[in-house]
Amino acid sequence: MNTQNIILSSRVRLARNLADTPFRGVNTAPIAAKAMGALRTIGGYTMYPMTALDPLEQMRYVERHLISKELIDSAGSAIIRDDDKVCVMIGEEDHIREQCIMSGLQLKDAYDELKEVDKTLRGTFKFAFDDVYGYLTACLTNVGTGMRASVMMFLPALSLTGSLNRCISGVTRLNMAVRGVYGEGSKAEGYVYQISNQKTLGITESEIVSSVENVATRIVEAELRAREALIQADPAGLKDRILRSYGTLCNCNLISKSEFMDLIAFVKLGIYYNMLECTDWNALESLVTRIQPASLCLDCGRRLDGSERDLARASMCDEIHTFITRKGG
Amino acid sequence: MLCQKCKKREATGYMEKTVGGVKTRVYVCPECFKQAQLEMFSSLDDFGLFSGLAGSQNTRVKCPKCGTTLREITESCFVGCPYCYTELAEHIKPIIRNVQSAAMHIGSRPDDAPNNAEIADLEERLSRAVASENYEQAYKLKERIRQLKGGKQ
Repeated sequence: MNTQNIILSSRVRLARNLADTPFRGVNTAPIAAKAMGALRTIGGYTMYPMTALDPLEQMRYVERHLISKELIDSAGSAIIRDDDKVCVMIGEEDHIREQCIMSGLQLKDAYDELKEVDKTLRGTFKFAFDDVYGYLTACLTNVGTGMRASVMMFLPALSLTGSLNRCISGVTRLNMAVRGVYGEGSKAEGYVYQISNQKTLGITESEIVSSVENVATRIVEAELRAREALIQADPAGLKDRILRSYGTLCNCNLISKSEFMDLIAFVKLGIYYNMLECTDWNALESLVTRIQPASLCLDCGRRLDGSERDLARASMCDEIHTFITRKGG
Repeated sequence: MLCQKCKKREATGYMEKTVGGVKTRVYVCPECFKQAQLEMFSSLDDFGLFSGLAGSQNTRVKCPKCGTTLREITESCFVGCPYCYTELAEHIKPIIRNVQSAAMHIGSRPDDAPNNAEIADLEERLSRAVASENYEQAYKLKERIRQLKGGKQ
């Protein structure tokens, strides 16, 4: 088992604002157009003004973790690189938020990617910067580097063994925040948590990257120990729950998102314990994104109500047996 | 001894409180102690945490550039414009120190130029380290200053 299946993705975000400009109530469309012009020179980027997108399309970008709900509320714009790894949000809480998302533990690489983006935008805009406080941001919790480095982690065993709270309080003492997967205030679904730095001032960018990486690595170790404890405590019961989860996913007619997320977590555990075999991990991860409400509707080509979604989701689950099979014994 | 808070139950312990620089002991019963702890805990939410720092004048003070009041800032942790940082510097400084446990940016800069504020701070610490004959610390500080001034290692 590599850490990639516990650390699902890494994300680095830099908050930037224009000098001499109020943080709120500014028409951000010209900023977006200018940023788009600059970014075009370094790669394939496409601009998506929120006002030009259908609500379902907006939500699909949120489900893919490319943009935040706040960007939709503020009717800003997203400039997304063609490989979906880099996204520059214009007109969110700060004028400009540059972010890079990569799979697995790749915070350093994600930050390196952003350096080029930041340099390009620095050549286009004069950023609000202060000798003492660094990059000035709308919220005092982001001032300084304006940097948030986070990892998305799949931690079922820590949750199921009841050790997650102890782990969270340890992490919090190290100036890190633990949140549900869709950012601030959201509930953890499918045992997926986001760990990020709290401190942005009086610390360098590379220190932030290494501190989050260190914490993530330690949590991986704890999760692996918890997985050992979990199987030792009740091997037959755990195997039963894993196989039942797999059975239900492959043989259901209606399934809600929360039930799906819960069952797929056990299926992933089953793969870890070698009770199930997965031939295509990417297909599995992509399924988790595709069963989210907005993505599901767009996939079906129309807006679906709750029970229609449950039906469509269940039919999507039919494909699971093509890349996940039960191992003998 | 009677609890000094409720003046009803027997005091079993004390809490220390600093008023105007003078430390005083308040003898309390377990009930009042629990109550005080809870009050202290509930005041640790965002609002209490920030507003306590800015004092009572925060209703009138506001940024001359954007009009955001200090009260709005202490309650939400959001400032209105880049000038809030300089115009309301004396009020914002303790809030930032509290939120970030730091007072100065040491990360990258838009112009890739040396950070003068940090160098000045390090030089001050260097002279203190030399004065107290802490040469190991002085060496480290000197190296860091050299790095910052040279821009590279």
